Amino acid sequence: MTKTSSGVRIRADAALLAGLGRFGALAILIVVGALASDVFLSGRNISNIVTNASVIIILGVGQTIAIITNGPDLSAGSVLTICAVIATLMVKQLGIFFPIAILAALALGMFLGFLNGYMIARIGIPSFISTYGLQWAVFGFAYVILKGYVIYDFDTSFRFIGNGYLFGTIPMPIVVMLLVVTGGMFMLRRTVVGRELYAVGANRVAARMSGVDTEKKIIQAFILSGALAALAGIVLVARINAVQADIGKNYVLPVIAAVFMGGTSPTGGRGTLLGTVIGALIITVVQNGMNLLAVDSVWRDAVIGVLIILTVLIDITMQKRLARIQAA
Amino acid sequence: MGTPEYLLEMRNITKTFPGVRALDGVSFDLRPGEVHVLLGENGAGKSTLMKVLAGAYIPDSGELYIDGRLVDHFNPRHAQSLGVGIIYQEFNLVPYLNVAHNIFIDHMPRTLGGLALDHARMHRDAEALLKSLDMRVDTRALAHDIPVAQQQMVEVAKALTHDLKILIMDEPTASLCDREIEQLFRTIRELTARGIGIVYISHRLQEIPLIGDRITVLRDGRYVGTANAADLTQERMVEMMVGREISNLFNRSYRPRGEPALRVKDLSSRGTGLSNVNLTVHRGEIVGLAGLVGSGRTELARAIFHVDPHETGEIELLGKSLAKEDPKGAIRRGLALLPEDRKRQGLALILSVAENVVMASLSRLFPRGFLRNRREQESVSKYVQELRISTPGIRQFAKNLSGGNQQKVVLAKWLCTEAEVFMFDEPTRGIDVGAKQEIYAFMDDLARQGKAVLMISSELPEIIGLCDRVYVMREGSIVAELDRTEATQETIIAYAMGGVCADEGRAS
Amino acid sequence: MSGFSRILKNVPAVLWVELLLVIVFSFFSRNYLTTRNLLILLQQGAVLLVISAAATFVIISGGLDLSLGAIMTVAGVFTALAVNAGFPIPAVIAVGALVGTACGAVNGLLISFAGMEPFIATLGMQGLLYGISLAMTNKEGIPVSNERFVFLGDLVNRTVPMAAISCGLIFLLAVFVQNHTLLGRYTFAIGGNEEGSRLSGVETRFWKWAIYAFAGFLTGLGAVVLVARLEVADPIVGVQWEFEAIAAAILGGTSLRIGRGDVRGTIVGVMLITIIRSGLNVVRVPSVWQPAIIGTIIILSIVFQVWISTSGKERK
Repeated sequence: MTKTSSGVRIRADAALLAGLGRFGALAILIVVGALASDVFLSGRNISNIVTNASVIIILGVGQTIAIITNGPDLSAGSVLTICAVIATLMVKQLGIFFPIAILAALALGMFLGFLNGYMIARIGIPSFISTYGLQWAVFGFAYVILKGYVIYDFDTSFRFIGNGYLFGTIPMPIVVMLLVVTGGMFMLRRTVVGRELYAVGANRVAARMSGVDTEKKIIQAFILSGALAALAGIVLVARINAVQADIGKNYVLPVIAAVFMGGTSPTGGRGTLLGTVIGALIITVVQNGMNLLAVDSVWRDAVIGVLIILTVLIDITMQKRLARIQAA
Repeated sequence: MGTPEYLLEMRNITKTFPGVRALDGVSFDLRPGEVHVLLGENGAGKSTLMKVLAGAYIPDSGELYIDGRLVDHFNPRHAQSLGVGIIYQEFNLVPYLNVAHNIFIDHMPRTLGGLALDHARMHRDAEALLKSLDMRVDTRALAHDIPVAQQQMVEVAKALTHDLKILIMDEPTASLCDREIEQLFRTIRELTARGIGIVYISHRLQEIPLIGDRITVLRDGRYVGTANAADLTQERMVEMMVGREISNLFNRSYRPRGEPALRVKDLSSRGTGLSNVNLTVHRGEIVGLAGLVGSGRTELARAIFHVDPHETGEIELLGKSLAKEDPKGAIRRGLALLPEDRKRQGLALILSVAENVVMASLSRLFPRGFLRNRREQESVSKYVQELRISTPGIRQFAKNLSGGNQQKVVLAKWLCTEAEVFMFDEPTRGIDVGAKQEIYAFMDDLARQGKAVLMISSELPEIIGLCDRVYVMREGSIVAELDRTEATQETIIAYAMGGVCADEGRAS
Repeated sequence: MSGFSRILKNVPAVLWVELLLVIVFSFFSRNYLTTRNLLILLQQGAVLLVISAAATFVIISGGLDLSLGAIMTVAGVFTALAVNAGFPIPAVIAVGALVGTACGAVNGLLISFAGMEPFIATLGMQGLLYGISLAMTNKEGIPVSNERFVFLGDLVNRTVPMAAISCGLIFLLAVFVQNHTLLGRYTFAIGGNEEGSRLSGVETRFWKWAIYAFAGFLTGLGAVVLVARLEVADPIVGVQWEFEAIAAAILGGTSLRIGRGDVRGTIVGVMLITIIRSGLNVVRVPSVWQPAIIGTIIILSIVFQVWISTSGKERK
């Protein structure tokens, strides 16, 4: 008994350590950024970073839920794109009242999420193949709609969600992000649905034999991921005031990186939104730093790619160590 | 140095896993040309000991001599080069490679200066090898497509492609019929005549005198004793395995049965081979479901629980028909199934004890969809205490518990649903004797509370010691219903085997 | 069953679909079923066949490689640089193959030795490799004009489809490796029963690594032919290729997760994708529509194929 409980203490410490490690990494990055650039710690740059991170975090919440339940939603970038395209098209070209356009975009995101979930849960295609495949079709349709053009300059009322300020102080993307994160945390931690999502990801067979409707949960998770991708798209285009057919392509890798950096297990059943938020901040600080240091944009994806690999490698190594400590 | 008269000597082998001491100073030896039976209950440490010998596990301490020489490093390849072959219960065949390739899996003959495989030679050699053992297997068939008995022959042939001195066979007869067992025994005698030593793991007591020369018994990871097969009666073997009189282990309070709680009528399912199954379990009784591995017991339980679909038949639970639903519906109506594979089907290892315990009762405990910490804590703590689950806390990860405690967590999960009818599939597999006894006591308790219990088990002492009635299954059908007084090892086995071969099984 | 009807029965459903498509397309255009058009088809599908063969190996072994398109791109860039630096042709081919093998070897290290999930490791590599190719090319294509090199992918005299011949040879090599070498057999062993193979004395870690390295090797060779055919090394040419390759493997009958498949079957998958692509031109679908339509058809056919192969069996 004493043996097991000391094992627990080690485990708790390790979890704490991993959490602290993430905060530590963020802190070090901030210090490095501050030393390397004068403007880094300016109020404007910080607000800028958090606002930029908001889109990644909104996507990251959906991605985390998808990965906890089953696997990655690699189509999120394309869903973001087409939903943004549809919403802006409705507002700009067709003059539709913007809340309706936003609802339509969310509905489209949910529909595409449903397609993903259906392919994964009912047909049995692993998520990294089905969502990866769907992404190409969806990008294709975004291209069809825009035909290579850029839509820009939207109505101020529509743009409010992206570049407005709540009470004149808090940027709207941050407000939306905080709502999404709070809602997501509540769902994952305090509801039966959240519990069931973890159960499905941790052991799909056991969950089904415990009366969880696993197929339905997987579909729900991907619908949610689709809806959040749509929301992220709306916030993004409202902020940058333009949309083109590849707007979401740059988000796939950073979001995946943020989620794994946040400690979510690639095999499902384990992960927190707080971790994803920290991961997204790290990624954004890195991107921001590269901008300030005028690193050529071609290296962006390369750096994120390396970050993904390193993070997961460190996680695996730590877990092996831990297992060895516990076995001893 | 070891003693040269022995092929193998294992001295004071100890091996621990997180939370479990699987082997505690175990010794074992083997002479050329003998069949040495390794006997013990599930979880006694037999498989662990053999995995150490085969190089799959590295022991924490102890010495291993092969041919008098100390073995100093452990990996499967090295063990193989020393002449150790092992046939695991779950075969190591590759489903979509053919028989010849499987036989030569780790040293396929090559031509063209080592570049290309020599298929012709492989088939020729494989055929010759199989023929020398009087086995008939098509070397060009995929392993996936041949019956289980033939797969086993392929495993034997595979072991023989090395300079084999020691062959370990783990439960080789588990899914074979009489004729196939005879063939297997002929093969074993053929091998011992060549001077090969066989370690034979089994808990089919009645076949041991037929094939074994010596017997070593393990219990809870400890060495109990070694004796000549001829000198041990079955009763004595059981005593050594269990460590006490069986009657102490099973403490049943039999009482008159109540109304029928679970009734299955004419259930058939082509996909799983179930045909016309009829059975009834009453309140207050424990009913056993015996049969060979692959006889359809697990499939039946899964069909009743609506995990797998079935085409025809009726299931009646507590007087109401349980129509085509899913496990969720079955649970809501008061049915529970404790599955056979704890780690794959019973538990989510990376979740906490609490999360596992409430997993099947979420909608009962939290009907409005929101979790309530207090409520969860209360129900979980209640079962943790009641079942005496030793865990440092209810937020502990399930994977850090010992096998017995893990099984208790699964049991707690089903108690938490407040079910009326319980199906247990191999409830004591791989757990220590103490935990076993506790689980038996709990099943008795359930029966005393007027719940109905259906228990699937391959451990005949368990079936005999615990059950009011026993159904015996063979090839997807129930072939006998025995009363407590009629159920003996011999009768159950006779019905279960039936002398007919079931060649339906396939490799995974 | 007689040999012929057995062969008929083993023809994958995809092949009938392809036959139907060819008939339909030939009604739309008289030029469709001409030798010239078929030669162009061959040239266009050739490199995809090689990349798909690479994907097939990885999938049979139970893995996944999302970086194949990126590997092809980077290997192509190095190839072009080697050509323009005046390397002799064999050395150029070696450069392409080596770069591909090296990228695949890194994947293999991360997956087999470090124990990373394949989709993470190869997704990360995808980002890294495109970064490298963009940086090396300064985001512009590198043209190549060396005639002897370009010959490798040319449609010589409008009659000899050299790209198809080169890729055909590479493909034959892949088939040989699958059926007649340890690497091929162990691809099935790892996909079908990794733990069992390890316990039987197969060095599964090494071989799993080797499978990714070999996939990189094939992809590197494919890159050489692609650059020769297009006469340019484009820094993002490989985008989406890995998906078409995975799709081709699945359509060709390779199963996910159970260690069953055949690189030869992948031909029909590649044919389907190539036929559809060419057919869209024939029926005059505007080019903006093509990515959407092709993407949709491919994803639908994967759904259909997986649905067929799992229905009838019990699903868990």
